[in-house]
Amino acid sequence: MREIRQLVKVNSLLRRLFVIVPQALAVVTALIATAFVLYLMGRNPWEIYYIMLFGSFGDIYSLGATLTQATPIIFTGLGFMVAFRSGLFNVGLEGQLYLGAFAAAYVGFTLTFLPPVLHIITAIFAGALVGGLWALIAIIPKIKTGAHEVITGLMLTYVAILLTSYLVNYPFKASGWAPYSPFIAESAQLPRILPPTQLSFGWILAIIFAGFVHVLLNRTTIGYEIRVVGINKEAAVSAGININRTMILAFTLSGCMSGMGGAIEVLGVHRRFIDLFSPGYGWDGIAVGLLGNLNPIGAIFAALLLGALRAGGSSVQMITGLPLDIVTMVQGIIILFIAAPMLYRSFIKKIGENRYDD
Amino acid sequence: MNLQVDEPKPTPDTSLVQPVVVMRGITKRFPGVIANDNIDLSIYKGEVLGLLGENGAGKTVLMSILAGIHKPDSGEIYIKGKKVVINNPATAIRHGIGMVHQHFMLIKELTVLENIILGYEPRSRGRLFVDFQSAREKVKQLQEKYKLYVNLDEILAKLPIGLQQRVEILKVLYRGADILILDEPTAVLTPEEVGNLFEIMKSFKQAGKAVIFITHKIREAIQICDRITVLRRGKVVGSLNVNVATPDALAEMMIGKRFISETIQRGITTKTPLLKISEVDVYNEKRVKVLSNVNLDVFSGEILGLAGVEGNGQTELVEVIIGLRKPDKGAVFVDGVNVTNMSISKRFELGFSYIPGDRHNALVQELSIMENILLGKHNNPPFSKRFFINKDILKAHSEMLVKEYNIRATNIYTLVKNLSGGNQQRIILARELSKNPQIILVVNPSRGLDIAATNFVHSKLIEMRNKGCAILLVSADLDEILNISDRIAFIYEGKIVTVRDSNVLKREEIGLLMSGIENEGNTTTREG
Repeated sequence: MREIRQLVKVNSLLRRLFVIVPQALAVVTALIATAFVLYLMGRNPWEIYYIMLFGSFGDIYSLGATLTQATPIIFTGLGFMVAFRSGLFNVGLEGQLYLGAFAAAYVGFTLTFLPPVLHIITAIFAGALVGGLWALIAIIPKIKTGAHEVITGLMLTYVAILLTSYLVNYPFKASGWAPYSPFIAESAQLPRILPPTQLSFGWILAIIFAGFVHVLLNRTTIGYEIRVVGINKEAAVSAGININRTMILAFTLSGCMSGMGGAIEVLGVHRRFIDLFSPGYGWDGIAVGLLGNLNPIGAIFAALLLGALRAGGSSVQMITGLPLDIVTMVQGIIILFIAAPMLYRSFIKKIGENRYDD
Repeated sequence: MNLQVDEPKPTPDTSLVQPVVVMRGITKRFPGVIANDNIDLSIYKGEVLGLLGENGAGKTVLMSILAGIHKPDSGEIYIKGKKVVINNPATAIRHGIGMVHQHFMLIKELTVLENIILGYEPRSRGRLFVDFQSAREKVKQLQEKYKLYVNLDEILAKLPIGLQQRVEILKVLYRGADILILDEPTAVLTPEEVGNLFEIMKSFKQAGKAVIFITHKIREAIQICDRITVLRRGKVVGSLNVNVATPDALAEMMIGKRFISETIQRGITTKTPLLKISEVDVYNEKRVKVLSNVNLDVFSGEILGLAGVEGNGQTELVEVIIGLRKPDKGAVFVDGVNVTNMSISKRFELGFSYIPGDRHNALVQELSIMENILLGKHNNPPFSKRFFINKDILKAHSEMLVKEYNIRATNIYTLVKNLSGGNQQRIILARELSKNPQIILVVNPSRGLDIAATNFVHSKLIEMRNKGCAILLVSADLDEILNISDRIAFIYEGKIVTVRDSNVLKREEIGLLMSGIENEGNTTTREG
């Protein structure tokens, strides 16, 4: 039967706005649900949210904290997105981030002879390379044997975290009791752009990089192939696209981006590798990718939101003693609603779309 | 058919009886479209009513309203004289209305019997258990009565489409339908199966049931129907008794202007084949031999039609030619060059164009018209240079093709999924034929298209042939093959039965050739 799908003619601007409706609804729903939980706990939700808002955008310190938190998750979010656009689920971002961070730190404290800018570039490049390689290890079994990339990616994440943990606890441990690597050379440090906060030039790089990914996906043949493969593999094959090559490329690029995120976190914020430094930037990347509607520009805003939640959540913890877990809860509910897009989509469809057969 | 020529009213013995179904003033709107516009329709006991119209004429919507799938915006339905409101399929079934959909509503993993009784299982022992015994008996009786034989214990997925359709019909009968709606039932059948189906429809008629036959095939409508109602753009154009209905008149009613089937000039061909398939053997995933010793030559400047019932190796042959599948034996040559181990993209560079049978394999539904036109050309200049897509050139190219191929859409940024099947097919043709191909591999190009769109597709293919392309047309639609092919190859169980010039082919032979019987010696008669 020929099915003709008849859409209501909405002008394109309105339709673009329509796209973010599920995201916006998810965020609002999560905030309402959390307010309810806070109320049950005997807290005043308005007060908590006010502290949270002030703690994320209220002054220069909190703004700096928000943007600092947002920086690595822009990278991991972009990474998630690129893989997802090719139809792959990269849940190994956290591991790729750790290895990228360590590689950058290593370059930072060993290749000290490099001049300032070149040293930074080399360190970021090393982070991208190692992150990409780690992703490549996760995707090859999928292409060769059909092993699911979620399993390989997840398992390799634990390997990566424990590997860096070993490296920083034994061979590359700086003197002292804490599992830190030596500091990177000054020539490898990304400059701070909003002193006294930790916000570094890495934030600017993240924005530029999001633009770069936007161009990659929408303007290049590589991005085009990635998108086609992600949507319709049969059509891709019929058009002569090598889908295995495209998937490997997209997944590896995804790992590179996550590795870059780790590298920039080390070069800009910590200036050395710290054992277990990431509070889950890799996992947040999944949230950023989905909340950003798989759009690089959307990822910036999604990362800002999650960064603000983290920064604001810290303030809440300091002022009211409420655990930071409240932020995790908000995030969890957001993801829950985003991951159930069918719910909203079908709801929206009922308003705007009707279908018939003939 | 027991037609009484002089009767003014439908069938003789029912003319005095009131109609079993009367639909009055049925209107159904969908956003932007009036699918049914104030339609009146009567259906009598013991007749086959043809509902004829092009795709999108509103036939299926009208019958879906009767079957309780859609609700009309306005209008009334009377069954056996009583006004009824049909809100859902269950109500329709209670009123004796059963619809056999074009897409079967069957569960592949269940047996035939389980499928038939699904939802209406007789119970035994305190309603806990399904009484398969009595169900089987009831179904057996129906099978005897209407000669609808099919093994009740077979898993549905193992049955050919023609038998699956029987299961669907049995299901409707089992639920007690005496008003049967068949939605394009012949679309999936072989000519032989169509004959069987028509016999079954006649037996329904004799049993006093009312049968509604939805179709867009004029010849079939005339062959089986007692009365034919033609719909166009959601309105009834008119109803004709079959004894006064001529193909010409019906075609005119359907498309609104006189439909001229053009006579086709034969193309001029060369001596050496541009595409040569040589001794190809293919075993499928289950290690069954699906192609054996296939030899085919396609010359530049001709359309070679590959006729055959679906599932006789056509899919595999196409996959071998385009490079989606490696043959177990044999080779494919393009202009004398062995391309058997070449990648698909390399073959495209040699001048292949491929129009797959399933539009979903050729289009990315979630991308725009422009981005679909880019598909397969995206690595070629001038559309891209060093990884960067040249949007300006692509835009101009897309706009030109949209105009040339008369693709109806708001603009080139419209997503393909929002377009009708005909427009989608036009996009594929626009893309593939604008590559300046040497060899065109085309599968079921007019499937699901209305007459106007089909004519367009055919004229484009003929135009490409006249430009010197070698075209291999694989189609399940025999009319299509007969209409535009210069030569016709028949494939049966993975073997080429024979290759004939289409102008010397007799219609009576075709059925035999399609079932693998080649009686005479006058095989391939290509004059150089």
